Amino acid sequence: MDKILGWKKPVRLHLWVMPDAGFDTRKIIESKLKIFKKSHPGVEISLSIIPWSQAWDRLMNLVKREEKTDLPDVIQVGNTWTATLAYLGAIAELTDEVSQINKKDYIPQSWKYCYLPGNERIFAVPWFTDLRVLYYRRDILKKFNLDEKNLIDWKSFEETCRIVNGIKLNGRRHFALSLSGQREEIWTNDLAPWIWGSGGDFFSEDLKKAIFQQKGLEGISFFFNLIVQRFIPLIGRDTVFPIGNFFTGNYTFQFSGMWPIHSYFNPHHSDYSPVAAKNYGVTSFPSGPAGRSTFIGGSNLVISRFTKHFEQSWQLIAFLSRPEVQSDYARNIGKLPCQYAAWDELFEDHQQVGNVFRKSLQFASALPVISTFGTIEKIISDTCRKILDVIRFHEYSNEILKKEFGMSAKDVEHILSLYD
Amino acid sequence: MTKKTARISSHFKLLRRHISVLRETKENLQSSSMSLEEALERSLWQLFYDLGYDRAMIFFYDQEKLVLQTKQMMHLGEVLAGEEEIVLPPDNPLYELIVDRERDYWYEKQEYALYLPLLNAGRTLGMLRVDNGIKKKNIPPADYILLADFANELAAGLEKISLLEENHQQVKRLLTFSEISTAIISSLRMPEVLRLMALSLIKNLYFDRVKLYLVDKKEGLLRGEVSAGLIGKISRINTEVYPLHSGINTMVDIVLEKKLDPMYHKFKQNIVYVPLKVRREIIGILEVDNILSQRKISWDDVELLNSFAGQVGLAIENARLFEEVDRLSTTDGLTRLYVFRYFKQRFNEELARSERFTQKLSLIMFDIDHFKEFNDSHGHLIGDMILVEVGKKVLQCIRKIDFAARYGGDEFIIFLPRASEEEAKIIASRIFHSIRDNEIKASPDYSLKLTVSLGIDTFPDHGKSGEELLKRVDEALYWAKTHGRDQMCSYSEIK
Repeated sequence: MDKILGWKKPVRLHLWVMPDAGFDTRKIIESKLKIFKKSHPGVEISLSIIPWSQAWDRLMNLVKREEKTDLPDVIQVGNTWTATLAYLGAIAELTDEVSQINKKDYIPQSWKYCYLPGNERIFAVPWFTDLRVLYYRRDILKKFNLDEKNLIDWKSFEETCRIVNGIKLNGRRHFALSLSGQREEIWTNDLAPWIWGSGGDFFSEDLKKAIFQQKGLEGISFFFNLIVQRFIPLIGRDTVFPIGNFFTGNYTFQFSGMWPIHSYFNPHHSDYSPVAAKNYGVTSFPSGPAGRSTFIGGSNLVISRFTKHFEQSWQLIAFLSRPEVQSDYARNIGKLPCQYAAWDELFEDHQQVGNVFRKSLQFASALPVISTFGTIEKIISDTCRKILDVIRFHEYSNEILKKEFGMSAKDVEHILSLYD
Repeated sequence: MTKKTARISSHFKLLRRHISVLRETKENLQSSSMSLEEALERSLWQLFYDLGYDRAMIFFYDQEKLVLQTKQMMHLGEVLAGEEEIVLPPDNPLYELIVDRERDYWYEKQEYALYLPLLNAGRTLGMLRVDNGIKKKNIPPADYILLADFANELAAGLEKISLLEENHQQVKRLLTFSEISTAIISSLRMPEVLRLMALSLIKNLYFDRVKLYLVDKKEGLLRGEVSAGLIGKISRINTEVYPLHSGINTMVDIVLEKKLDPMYHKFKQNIVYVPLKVRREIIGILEVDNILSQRKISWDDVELLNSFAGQVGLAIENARLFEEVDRLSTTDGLTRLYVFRYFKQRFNEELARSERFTQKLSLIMFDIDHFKEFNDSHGHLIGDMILVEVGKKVLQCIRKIDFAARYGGDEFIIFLPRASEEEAKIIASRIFHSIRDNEIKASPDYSLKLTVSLGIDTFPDHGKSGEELLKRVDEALYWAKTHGRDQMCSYSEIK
């Protein structure tokens, strides 16, 4: 009937996106979707903002057919999720579509997260990324005649932490280094640069053996020793922002990505922190015994396998992947676009910061791509939690660290053996 | 209007607003089809659209950890799930509100925020926070009662929805139990039982993967049988074999009852091993995992698995017994070849297939020369051993698709699908020489040489019906026996 009348029903796409810009996310995305709809009049888009804490569960509902309504067509996913989703058959293969993209325009590390482990099939397009650099307080270092040169390698970084730790400034006690997350938790992306910096890695090349407890243990031990020496104070596990962090003004160092540039150092942002904003410096991750290393992560865009509108879904992804759209969105959410072309615009007003990020990109590594990564990550994080408890009760030793990570490696290998 | 009248009028306006908001709240939360998230969302929208507050947050209270966890947050009408936590140390005013319940509310002037407990039937479920921090406007005290009533309605509604959801889950579990039980008792064939069981668990309980292992007591092994995954793949896992020695792996330790608490394993409760028992004996292990989805396998699911492990064990035991009975009814106990009754049934089926697809089908019939005399002189025990050895040689010589049976006494019969006369002669020759050219071990210290007489015929060359073919192969055998024995004879040669 519609055909006879010459009227085509509009295609309705469902887009799932994480609230990377908090409550402003909807406004920002919708401003982009307006532009898309102008060039695609037959396509309507229904936007759902799914928080990180719920997103995985909703995706699993999709896989397990428990989600019955409003099935998504295009989804933003954490890049370490892509392999698991591909393995579970939740997302569509995009190998043919991606062949139309010039992958050289992208940060090479971002593509690593788009493949199914062990083969050349592509299931995602990188959307935005982030990598860890070291933020520091210039004013505090200056007090001790220190500067960036004292942050070149692990040894000098540790020594600098020792000097600045515990000082009192404006009546407040200052600490050397803040944890990167909101809580006293350590995740694989926190440990990764230290493992790689010591010449180690998470798994063997064939992804059958855990090796972080071998060479990587040197780096893990170095990191935990920073906590043992109370350069990173431990307050309480379940507290959000335990006693503040670099950005609230009472720490000297913090490893973080682009978010501070967008928020804490931005006078127009509700999280603006004047003290940190006036006095911050940024440099690359200190160099370990095996060289410099840092972690790179981010998000991908995928198409649900259950979509009834593959072509339009791909058109939406292609649109969201345009350099100008990526650049604008990344700027609004405090991340880095995955395409080089978008970096120039992003760092127009922050050249020095841009240089640090560009330099860091050269030695940035991605986490292992493996379908069981989620569970493995929890095992490692659990081990870190045990070590933190041991430190809290003043029972830490290198032997305990070795033993716990040794056991953790066995558990990880068991998981690796269960799934190819 | 006088001041008094204006006051009264304003008061009534407030009351009307109060009643209207509460009525809508109640209606929103009464719906039995609404999920918890939807209910929270609607309540938060109400606070913005009907009551005009800038922001609101709903927290759930964890009594054990003394922590308030944000469930949902509203910011100028936009609702998001929350990820924050508020710890409640004793010096925090919220501690008095939530833990001690010494306050009915707490107003934080600097934040323009009002905090109210969510109470139902004397229990603290959580907390509601409402603020006008964006427009920097105080919440009037007149609103406190309205918001307190709102919080009470919210708490009652949330409790009701939680109970309904729990109820729904229990009903779902019972239905699942029933469905799975029906599935696994619907077949007596072992591969089918295993397949149905694995599929039912995936389909009804949404595990990532289910694997089943069975104990082979005779060989002292735990053998993998079947694996079923979310992506619909079912595969045999016969290559997974573990000797039943302590310390090999968790499953073996469970079988050997070295593990005291086998049900719940580590890896963040993503794997469960369920021992399958029949009459207190562990006959296998069901491994269930959510490693990829990282979904905790809840205690309710574990209990369900435990309840139905007994059923699974029985179904497997029944299937095993059925297999044994089936085997006994179709298999000759001595030679392990099929019995003639079953041979005939299968032969007729194969013949019909050959006729349909215009394919050849051959028969071989043979018996052991002078067997009766041998039996009489050496005894039936030795005779039986010879039959066993001959049976083995037959199985070694025929193809996988061939079907061999003991015709009776010392006579054997084999049908060979898709075999021409020439091909049948090759196989017949193999059998003939295998017996003739090698000594047959009748006992550890006694071997002897045997010969056989052998007849061959072929469909459709020598007969079109089963009776004809059986008759003619018998005639070929008879000719071989009556013309010197120790030879093969095809019906072509005698017709």
